[in-house]
Amino acid sequence: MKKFVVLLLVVTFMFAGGGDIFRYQMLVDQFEASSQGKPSWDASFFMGYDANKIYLYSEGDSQEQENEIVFSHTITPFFDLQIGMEHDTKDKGATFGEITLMGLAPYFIETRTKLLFGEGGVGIDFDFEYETLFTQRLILNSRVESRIFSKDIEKAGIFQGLNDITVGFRLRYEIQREFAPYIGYSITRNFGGLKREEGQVKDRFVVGIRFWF
Amino acid sequence: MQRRDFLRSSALFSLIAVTPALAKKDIADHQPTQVLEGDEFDLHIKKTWVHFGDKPVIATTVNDMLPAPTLKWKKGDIVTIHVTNHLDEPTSLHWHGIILPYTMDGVPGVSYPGIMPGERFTYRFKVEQNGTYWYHSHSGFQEQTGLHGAIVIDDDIDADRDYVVGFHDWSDEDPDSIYRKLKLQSGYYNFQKRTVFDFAKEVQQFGFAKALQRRAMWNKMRMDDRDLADVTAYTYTYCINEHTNKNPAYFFFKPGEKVRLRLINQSAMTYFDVRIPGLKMKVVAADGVPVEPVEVDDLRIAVAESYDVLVCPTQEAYTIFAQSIDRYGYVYGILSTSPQKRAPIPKFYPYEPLSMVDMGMAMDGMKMNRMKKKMAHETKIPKTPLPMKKGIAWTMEAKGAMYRLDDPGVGLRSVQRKVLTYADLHTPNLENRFPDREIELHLTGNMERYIWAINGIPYYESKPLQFRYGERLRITFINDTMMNHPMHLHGMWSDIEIADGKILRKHTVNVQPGSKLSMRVNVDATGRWVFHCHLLYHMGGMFREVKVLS
Repeated sequence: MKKFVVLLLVVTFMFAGGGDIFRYQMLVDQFEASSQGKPSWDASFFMGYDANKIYLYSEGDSQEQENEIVFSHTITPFFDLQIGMEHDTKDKGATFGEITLMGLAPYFIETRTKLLFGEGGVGIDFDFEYETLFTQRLILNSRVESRIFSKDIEKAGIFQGLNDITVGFRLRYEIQREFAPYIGYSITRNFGGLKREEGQVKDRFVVGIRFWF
Repeated sequence: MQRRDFLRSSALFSLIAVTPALAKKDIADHQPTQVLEGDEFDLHIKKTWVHFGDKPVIATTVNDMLPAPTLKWKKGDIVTIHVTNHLDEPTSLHWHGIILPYTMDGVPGVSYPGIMPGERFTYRFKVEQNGTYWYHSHSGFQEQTGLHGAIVIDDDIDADRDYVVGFHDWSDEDPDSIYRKLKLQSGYYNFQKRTVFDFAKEVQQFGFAKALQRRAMWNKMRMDDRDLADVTAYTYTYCINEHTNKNPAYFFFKPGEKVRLRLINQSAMTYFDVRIPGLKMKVVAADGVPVEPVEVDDLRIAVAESYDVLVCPTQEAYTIFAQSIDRYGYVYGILSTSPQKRAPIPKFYPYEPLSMVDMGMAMDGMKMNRMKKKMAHETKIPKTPLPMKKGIAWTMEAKGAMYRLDDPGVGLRSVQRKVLTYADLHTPNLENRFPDREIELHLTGNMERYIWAINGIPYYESKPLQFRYGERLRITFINDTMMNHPMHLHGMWSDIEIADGKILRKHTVNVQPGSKLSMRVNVDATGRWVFHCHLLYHMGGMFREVKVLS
């Protein structure tokens, strides 16, 4: 087995000669604090080649997180199909299988649309982002996120139907491409389902940094 | 000495140790480029300290020179070049544009295995041509780190002064890091992207609906009309020979003299728009081959191209001004009668984004090269189909791609002076045989992912192209990307089809974005050759081996 993996790596490296180089990137898209609530993050890591990559995603704060590991394969010039798992840690937590379409939609809209299945239900997760340049370094990131699920999974804080919609705006200044502090505003509306959060609207101002290496 | 002091001084010492001068004494300092003449040369490829950018950095050099020594040859001579590799990695030298046996061509993995660390390789071949050429490493990204130099072969173009003007782009950054950044974020080095204020300006100009409509097509296609150069002056310091703008190159003359400038673009990635305000440039040779002379005010020099121009300066000083195609940086040299005389540095031409023409989508508005239209209908040339793959390396199709030999190109279209185009050039006294067959090469890419390919297939997935010895081959390029690609075929000449059955003989052929271009090749050299885009960071994908079958 070990030999096989080594052989696979060697072969991959040989074929990757030329333009397709092995690469990795750690991107902390959001690492922020707000007036209310705990510091939170939204980060990803990948390693791989043009067509095949392994991604790790993590989003959340010290209390609840969504963590994913997926294998990502490029299926069209602008889209990757990702297959893997997501583990949500809220309360007792829950684990789902996921099939995700990630890429750049027309009009430069970045999207990750996840199909989740597990714990006896299915769900869809949307994430759309758009970047507006005010200057070459002052960039507004607008983001819409939402989750829909087929049933209540109380231990993971998920409920049937439209769970929530979050709209966020983050204005960053790229001191370097790799390092950008930002300020932002985010508003979340919870719908139906779990009584304690029903109809609740949460909004917050945030301040944070975005960085990658 | 007390222990504490010792610790402090050792800490201090380790700080000094990382500074260049003390760290590696065995690395020599940069030497000015010399001219080496004769038929036997001894070249040593080494690591050398240079200081072009913000700090001293280690470069890859020949005999500690960057650019490498200018080699002066004579037509008819058999030259012998001993190249010793003092690096700890393999290296190579390729004689760009020189017609020679393929085993002397210097492409690792194709012509030979390359020159291993500590090894010496001897090139020996007969010089069969005249003119201005250059040479560079064909190993990894060594060219970006300095391994390039000029070749001058005597000819009978008459001039009182003769200068090599070698343009190149230097970066303090490791080229592997540049390439990785492009792969992670292809717009990393572009600081002239479209902003909301640009849109606001368009709204003012055209009204909201029209402005939106203008954007719609680009945005739908996820294409950036401000993507003119992948790597920019954000990391590059542009140089003429071994001079930057801090210490500009001087070219001296006496008033009334005829000066020959051998303009060579030795850059890894940069297209330059060159002009000498106040002077006409008479182009007398392109890529080393004499052309019917033509006087111009401006010329764009693609990566790996060379133009020999004659100028007759009468005033005391002029500026040789070369601005990068994306108008983000420039380099200048001084054409002058004395070190005290300088001319003002001119302004950039206005920034011009790409247009629908560059997307290969404008069916009208451009003058079409008249003859081309006729030629296409004239006689049928049998077409040999090649494998194609419409996969991830092919995002755009230039459906309306046209021959645009008379198009000065983006950024020079509105210049009210004479700008050189391929349509102005013509190589006289050459037989132009009718082609036996034709192949079509789509230059393709995916800018979002920074993948480059030919016919949608990157090099590492490709099979060699097969040329037949003795045939006259027509190669038609269709550029399905939004960038210029300087295509370079090794070992054989490329005859670009200009109007009226005329041809322009070159070694590097610039194919404009969204355009079409045809060239003819006399397949008169056996062996294994290569054919590739000369932009260093495109080469990994836009590369083919060529096998000439007898």
